[in-house]
Amino acid sequence: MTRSVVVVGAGVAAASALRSLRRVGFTGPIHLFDADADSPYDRPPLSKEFLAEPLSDASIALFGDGELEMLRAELHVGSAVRSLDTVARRVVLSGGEERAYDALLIANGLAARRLPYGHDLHGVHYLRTRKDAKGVREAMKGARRLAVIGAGFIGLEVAAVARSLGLEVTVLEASRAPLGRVLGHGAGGQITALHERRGVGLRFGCTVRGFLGEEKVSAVEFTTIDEGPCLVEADFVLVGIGAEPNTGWLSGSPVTIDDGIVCDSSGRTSVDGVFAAGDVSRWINELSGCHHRVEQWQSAVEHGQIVATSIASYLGVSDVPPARWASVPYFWSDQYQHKIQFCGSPGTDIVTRETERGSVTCLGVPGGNLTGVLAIDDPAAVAKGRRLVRNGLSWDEARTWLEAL
Amino acid sequence: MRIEVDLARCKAYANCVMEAPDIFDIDGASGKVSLLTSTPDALQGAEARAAAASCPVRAIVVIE
Repeated sequence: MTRSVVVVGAGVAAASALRSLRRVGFTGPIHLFDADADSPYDRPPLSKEFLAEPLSDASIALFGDGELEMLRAELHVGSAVRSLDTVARRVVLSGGEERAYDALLIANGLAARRLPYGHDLHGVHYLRTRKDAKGVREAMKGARRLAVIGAGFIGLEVAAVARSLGLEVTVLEASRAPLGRVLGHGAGGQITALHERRGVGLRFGCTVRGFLGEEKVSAVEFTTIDEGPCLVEADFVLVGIGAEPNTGWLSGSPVTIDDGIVCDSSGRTSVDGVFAAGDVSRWINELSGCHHRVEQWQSAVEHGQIVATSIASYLGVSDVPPARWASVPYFWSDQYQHKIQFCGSPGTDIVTRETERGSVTCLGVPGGNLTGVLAIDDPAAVAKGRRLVRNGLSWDEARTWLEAL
Repeated sequence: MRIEVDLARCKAYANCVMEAPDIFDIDGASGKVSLLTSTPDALQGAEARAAAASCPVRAIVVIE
């Protein structure tokens, strides 16, 4: 009997799973349903070169020419899934159409977190989709002053592009450091310096109160811990305050959700035959033994590869037991001409060293291990560092390694 | 198995080096990927494919 796989989403986790499913020998039909009406695209460039340069849609396509045909996958774009029936094993699409599955992979990612106000003002932008990116690119052309809310990846990358194009840029961040979600609060100084050196104003400890402007935004009102009410003029606002898993359509289903779809280390959810991968899911990482929801491209690729082995095993395509996720989290970011890369997790001790190529910061726990490596313009160091973190290098040895770089 | 890299696409993120340090390296002078071997043995196949999959600019092609 032919078994079929349905995939919800068509981002990098879905693409990785699709390629891997064919590689491990699954030959049945695969249908992908993506809420986005645009043909699948790669997300990392959206907040970087896609904003800065007039790149074509084709240049950021997720699948190569003819690849989907070669993979014999049926892609349905602009096709949101409305609900899931785990007993009848089918999904219901927004148009009412139903689609049965033998295995379901949920990989429909995140949606930008929204402020509760300001939606009706021109000049207030979010960035998650390619359509959003085109809106930001257009807005940047006519703007003079950009206020970025949130010093995360999206915010800082847009700040860097805008500053490079000559805009005045102010970044308002609630916490005390940039990229705090992944770096913790001690290691962001290097990143802050990159921006300040170019004249970007970074304000920390800010609570945004609202926007001024009638039809179009003219300023952002905020308060800080030290000062009272403040105002920054802006004709263009980019809100980058994080993203949330697209799990609303699963409410009422028995799939366990707790800050993302909860999975084991092979991408299996709480429901038989239902799998999840990428940003929408929270897998057990066997390196730490904990559940992690990581919003990172590399993790999405890894999830896709692993969940394919899990689905193949479940459908009886392969006798090989499912692979398990045991990975040191890793991300990269491009800001100005600099390559920022980090692997691992925050530490309590931080040591930075300038190398011939750039700078390398080790994070760790005294008496314990190296927990993370941050590199600016030194990719070889972070590649090596990721292996060292994985191998549990002691903090003392890590400092010796750093000295020798 | 044979590996080809497109140096025009390579942006030296070193994701490939993380996945397959015996096959890929970053060349300090050019700031691009360099191949330690272009014909990895069968045991390195999984690593090579993982490296290709993890390249954000898809500069690596593994020819089986």
